[in-house]
Amino acid sequence: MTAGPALDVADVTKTFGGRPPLRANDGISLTVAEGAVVGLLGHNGAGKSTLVNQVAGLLRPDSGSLRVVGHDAVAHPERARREISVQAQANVPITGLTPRTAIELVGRVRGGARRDVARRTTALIESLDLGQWASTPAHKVSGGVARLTAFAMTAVVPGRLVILDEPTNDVDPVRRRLLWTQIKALADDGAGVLLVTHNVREAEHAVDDLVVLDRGRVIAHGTVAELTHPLRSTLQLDVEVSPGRSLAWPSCATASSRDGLRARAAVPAGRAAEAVAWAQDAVDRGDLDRYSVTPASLEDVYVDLVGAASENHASETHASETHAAEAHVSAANPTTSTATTTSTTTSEGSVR
Amino acid sequence: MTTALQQYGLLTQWQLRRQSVLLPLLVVVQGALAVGTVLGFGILMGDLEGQAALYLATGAPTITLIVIGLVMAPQMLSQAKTEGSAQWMMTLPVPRLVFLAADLTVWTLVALPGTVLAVFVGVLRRRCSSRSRPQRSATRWPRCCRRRSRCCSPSSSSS
Repeated sequence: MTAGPALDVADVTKTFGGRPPLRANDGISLTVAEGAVVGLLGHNGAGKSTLVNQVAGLLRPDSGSLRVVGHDAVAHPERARREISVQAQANVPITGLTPRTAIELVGRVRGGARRDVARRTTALIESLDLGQWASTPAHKVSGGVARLTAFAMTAVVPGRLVILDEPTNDVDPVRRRLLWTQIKALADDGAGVLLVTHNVREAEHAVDDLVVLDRGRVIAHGTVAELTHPLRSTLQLDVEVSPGRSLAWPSCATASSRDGLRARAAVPAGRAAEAVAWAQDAVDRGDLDRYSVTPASLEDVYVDLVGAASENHASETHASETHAAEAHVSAANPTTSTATTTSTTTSEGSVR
Repeated sequence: MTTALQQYGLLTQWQLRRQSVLLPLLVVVQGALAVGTVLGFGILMGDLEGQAALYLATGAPTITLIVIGLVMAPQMLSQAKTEGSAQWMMTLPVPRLVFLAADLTVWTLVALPGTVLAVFVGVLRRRCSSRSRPQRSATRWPRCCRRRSRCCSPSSSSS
């Protein structure tokens, strides 16, 4: 049998019972190649963890296929589990153990030889700068150290697919950089990494491909460059207004947000010089404390995507409600029903 | 390659270490429960003899096992599920039966001291009570009582 990519998800659907039933995954398809880091982005409730649980064999999809390194994860979850290592979203409590003991024990449970595991544990502890806490009882370590320990437990004997669910939560900025380096190292060593995160800004610099989920559907996928392409000709002008001064944007800037003294505007790339000149003048006059001009980030694209999807969902819901109400009326007037059905179909098409 | 037996040993070690903070307390509670059952019921129900005393002595370890099996183990399991650690453990490449065997071993070890103590205290109490009570076979009842054995039984004579 030819081993496929580290992970191949095809048209996976999962619905949870309840009133009304919740469709957590709705026809999700994605691929994680070996040696690649794929970011799975989405807000709370987008269906990320449900997908991860299905890959790990903890949940069965209603339909679709999940293949881990060529193994059918639905029919043979135990084979798939041999190929994956998972860092859960919640910290695994390791009370009674020290970080070093926990990492070593998991490494050996995952099939590592005692010496190799001990060597790799020491290397990870040093790489993540955890030496100070390596032998401290777990109930005395901070949340960030516990999070890094959980990562090390996953990476000590990594599978060919590594799933990391919010690995940087609670981790301080310095160790975050160390953590990203280790995540990239996992991919460089040949593992496929599926990175579930909310931290779009950090993921932007670490991932090769991105998949954006919203309400269980894939609303965008591609490389960072592909996703940010639509906003490539636009720059972001961020300013911090001096207390007591008012802000008047120049003609080249289009205001996009305001949060207290901080404000943001979009500027066409061709008029960047004009915007910088205006901002520098404003700083010299004392109207602004500081400013920055940056290219549109992945976060801007993500917010646009999710925002647009939310608006479409709202309009779709509204259309469905209207349809339900008008269908009730249609018993007396069939023409109304036909018109409403057309409007609902159009709305669904725009979401996809 | 780690075998299932090695994984069993490692998981048992993991679970024992994870419970190491709570284990001493659990063992003490089990011991107190066992001793309390044997001695406490004796105080409530008076001097029990023969079969009833035997039931009490053997019932204490049973109660210990019930408390562990139906109260403590499910509570720990539901806590592990709530924390998410049970779900994470299930992502490890370990056969499900190995998880079960490791958990059973840990809970058996928790139950063992209480169970042994209950049997020991039960035996001790039975011996003490049988020594402090006059032997029936040694009692010499008068001839009239032998004829009216019901009214002259040791229990009715003591009351």
